[in-house]
Amino acid sequence: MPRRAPFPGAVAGATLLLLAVAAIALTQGSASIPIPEALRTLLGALPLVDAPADQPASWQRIVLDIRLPRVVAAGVVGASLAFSGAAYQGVFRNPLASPYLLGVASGAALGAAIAIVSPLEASAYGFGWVPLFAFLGGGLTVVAVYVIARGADGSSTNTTLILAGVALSAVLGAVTSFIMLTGGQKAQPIFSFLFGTLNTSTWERLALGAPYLVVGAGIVMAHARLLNVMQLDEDQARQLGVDVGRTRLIVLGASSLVAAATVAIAGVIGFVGLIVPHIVRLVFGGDHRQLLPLSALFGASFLIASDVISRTLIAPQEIPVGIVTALAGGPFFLYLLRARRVGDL
Amino acid sequence: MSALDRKPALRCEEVAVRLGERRVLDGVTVDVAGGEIVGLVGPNGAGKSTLLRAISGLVPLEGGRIEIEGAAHDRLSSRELARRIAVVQQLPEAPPSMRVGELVLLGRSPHLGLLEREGERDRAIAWAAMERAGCADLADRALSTLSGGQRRRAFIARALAQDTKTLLLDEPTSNLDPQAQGELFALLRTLADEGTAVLAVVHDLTLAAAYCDRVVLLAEGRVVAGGAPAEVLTASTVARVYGPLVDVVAHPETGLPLVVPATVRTDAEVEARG
Repeated sequence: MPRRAPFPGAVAGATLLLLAVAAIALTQGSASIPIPEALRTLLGALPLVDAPADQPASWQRIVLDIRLPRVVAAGVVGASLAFSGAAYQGVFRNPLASPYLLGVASGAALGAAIAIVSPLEASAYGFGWVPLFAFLGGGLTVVAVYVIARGADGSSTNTTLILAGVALSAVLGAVTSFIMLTGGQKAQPIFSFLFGTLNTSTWERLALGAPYLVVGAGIVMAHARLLNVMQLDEDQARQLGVDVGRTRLIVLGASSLVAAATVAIAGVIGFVGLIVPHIVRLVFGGDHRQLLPLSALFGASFLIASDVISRTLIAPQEIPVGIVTALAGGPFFLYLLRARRVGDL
Repeated sequence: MSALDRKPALRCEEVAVRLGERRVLDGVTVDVAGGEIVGLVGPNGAGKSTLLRAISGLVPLEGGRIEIEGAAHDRLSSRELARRIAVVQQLPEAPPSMRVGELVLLGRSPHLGLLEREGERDRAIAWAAMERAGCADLADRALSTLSGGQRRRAFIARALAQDTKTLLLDEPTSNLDPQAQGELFALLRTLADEGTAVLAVVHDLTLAAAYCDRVVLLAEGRVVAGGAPAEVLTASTVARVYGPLVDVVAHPETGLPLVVPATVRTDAEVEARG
C-alpha cells in the first residue's frame, strides 16, 4: 500500500502546476506573446512598477484586459466547481455526486433562459440580468429540492434529496428546452450558457460572484472535519456526536451557493466538479481538510487548460468549454471506472 | 465492593420505544455499572438492538428514561452523549480506502470543537486505543484489506478512542471464529476490570453465559429475566422464550449453562417436543 503524498508537498506541487498552466494560458491566443513578455506585462501592471516601454501597446491590452480576466475566471470557476463537487461527494458519500446533483445547473439554466428571452435590457445598474437570474434560479432550485425532500418530521435523507433533485432538474430542463425551441433567434445565447463559456468573463462579473464563493467555501471548510466523520454511516456519525441533518444542510447550502455563483459567472460546465475531486481523493486520500483545497487547486488548473483548448483548437471559433471538459474528462473518468471499481474509491 | 454495589454508569428505566405502529420496547429496565459486562440476549426481534439505539440517542423514547452517569439522556447534546457512550455497531460502514489509523482518530471527534484539529494528545489516545484493541500494527492498512476479526478490532479501537465510561456493542462476536470470540471477550473483560461499563447484545447464549457477569433476557420488547447467567438461562426459561428446539446442559467443568440445538431430525420429532 503506497503512502500518500504529504499535504504541504501536494499543495506546493498543485500551486506550481496552477501557476505554470496560468502562465501558459496567458500566452495562448490569436496574438502570439511569449511567456517572458506576458509576465513582464503582468509585472508592469503592479503598482510602483513601470510598464515595459518596449512592448507593443496592444500586448498590454490583450494580456491585461482580455486574457487575464479570462484566465482568472477559468481558475476561479474551476476551483469552485471542484471544491463544491468535493463537498457534495462528501455529504452524499458518493463519488458520483456532482455540484449539479440538486438542481443548481438546471435551475440556473432556466433562470438564464428567462432573462435572455425576456424583454429586460441586457444589463441594468452595471450588471447583467442573466447572471443574476442564473444565480437566483440555481439557488432557489436547491432550496426547493430541500423543501420537497423533507419528510413530515422535517428530516431528509440522501436518497430523497437525490431523487427530488433529479426529478426537479428534469422538469426545469424541459421548461428550458421549451423556451429554447420557441424563443427563436433570441434564444441562441441559452445554448452557450448550457455548455458554459468564459468569454463573457469580466472583472465585474467575477467581483460580483466572489463574495458568495468566499463565504460558501469558508463555511464548507469549517465543516471539513465533520465531513470526515460523515464518511461513516449516518448512525455512526450521530453516535460520534455529529448532528448529521444540520451539517448536511449547512454544507449543501454553502457548496450550492458556490456552485450557483460559478454558474452565474460562466454557465453550466460539467465534469469538473465530478472528476477533479474524484481523482484528488484517489491520489491524496479522503481527508476533507486536504481534499477540499487540493480539489480547488487542481480544478483551477484543469479548467484553465480546458479553456485554452476551447479557444485555440478551431480558432478563431470557440468551442464551449463544457464540451472540452466533457470530452477530456469523460473518457478519463470511464477509464477510472474500468481500472478501479467505484466502490473501492 | 462488588460491581452491583456501585452507582450504575448506565440506567434504563421503564424504557418504551415505538417504531411506526409497533411498540418495540415496552417498559425495559436495565442497569449497567462500571466494571461489569452485561449481556443483552433474546430471540430475533426481541428489541435488543433497538435498546442500544435508544441508549445512543438514535431513536426517541416513547416512555421511560435513560440516565448516563447520573445525567438524563435527553438533556445531553449529541456530542456530550458521545463523550459518555461509545458504540460498536454490528456492521458499521466506512470508506474502503480509509486507513485504520484514520478511522480510530475519528473517535476523538466528540472531544473536538468545530474548528479544532486533532492534537498530539488525541493521537496518543488513538494509538493507545489501537494497542488495547490489538490493531496498532494495522494502523496504515486500508479497511478493505482487513479480515472480519481485524475490522472488528479497528472499530472497537475507534470506540475506545472516544474514551467513554460506557461501551455498547451490538453482536461483537458475530462472524468471528471461536478463537477470535474468546479474544474479544477477554478484551472486554480487561476493559471492564478497568472500570468500563459494558453492555453487549449477544446472540449466542453459551457465549453470554461464559463471559458476561449478568445477562438480561429480552423477548417481544420486555425483560423476561435478568441476573447471573446460570439463574437466567435455565432450561425452562430458555424453552419458554426460544421454543422447544433448544437444550440447556451444564458445562462439565464450570457448570455454566451451554445452550445447544436440540437433536431433532424430522418434523414429527419437532412436534413431539412441542
